[in-house]
Amino acid sequence: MSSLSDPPLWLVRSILWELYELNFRYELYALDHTIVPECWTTSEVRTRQTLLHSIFPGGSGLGMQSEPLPQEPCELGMCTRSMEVALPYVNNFRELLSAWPGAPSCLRSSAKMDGQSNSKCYELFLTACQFYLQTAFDFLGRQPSLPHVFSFI
Amino acid sequence: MLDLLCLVPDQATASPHQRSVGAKAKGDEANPPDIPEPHTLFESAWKKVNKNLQRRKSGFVNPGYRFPKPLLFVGVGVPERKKTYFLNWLSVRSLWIDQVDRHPPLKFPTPQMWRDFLNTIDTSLPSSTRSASSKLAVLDILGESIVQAAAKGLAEAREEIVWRGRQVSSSISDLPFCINTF
Repeated sequence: MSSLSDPPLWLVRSILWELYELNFRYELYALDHTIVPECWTTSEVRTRQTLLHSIFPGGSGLGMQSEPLPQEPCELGMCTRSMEVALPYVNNFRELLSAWPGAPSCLRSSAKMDGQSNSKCYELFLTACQFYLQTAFDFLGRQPSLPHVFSFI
Repeated sequence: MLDLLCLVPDQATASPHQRSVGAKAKGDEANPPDIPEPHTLFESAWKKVNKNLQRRKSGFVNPGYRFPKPLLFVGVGVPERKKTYFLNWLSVRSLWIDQVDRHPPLKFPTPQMWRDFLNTIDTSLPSSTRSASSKLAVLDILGESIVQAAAKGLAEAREEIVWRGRQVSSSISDLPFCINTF
């Protein structure tokens, strides 16, 4: 058992990682809800919510309430070091952003691994990040929360 | 194999032979050890954002923080005070996530409001002070029911807190814990 009197580094980093993750997820949700309200009407809400949740691993919703800490790199979604693992989550992120006004046209279609450099995947991910952060800044007027990388014990 | 988290934009779009693993963007500074590493592509993308505040589209999304900024915890120098911050957060975490999910408030706390909350509330302060005003404001946002429920939870679990399936010992008997004095 760890103590808050002298918390080990892994505990501190894990709690702070979760706060970064929560802020990122719920800011994305708030922005999506505001920017494309037509996607959150009664008839569309389930589809949109499913897409939003599919950006993140775990499957228990944005709050991660019932999830233990990640145990394997494959549980880190977009924040894993492997593009092969991250790509499905990146594509879901892309799909969500593609409905926002002003989204770059390249976000309209998925990227696929090419077995070599995977340049298209990296370009797509970077374009999605830049579009998201610029839009988020424009609406929030401050730096949006960025996802951080979980450190395994 | 390329490391997704070590790439910077120029590498991400460079030809394979131009890429290298483990590079950091020029000018990057090391984070404090408490802080997890930011996702490199997001961090690099942020540096390219046009930060002219005239672009701001005010009034659509509340700019407050849904959850405390992690840097608030890192900036606390006194160990006992830092423990108070963590204890206060972990005590309300689950309830607050539920509230944000189901009944989100119209506005969210500023970093200063979160700091006041994490630092506990002392209602003995004169109501005219800036600090007292800030604390009342955060009480208004978080809601009395959340704070009272958190205080009750604290009273019942003063020795252990379960966080993501792990038991964390609070060991707070030596703390001037006063979250229930909102």
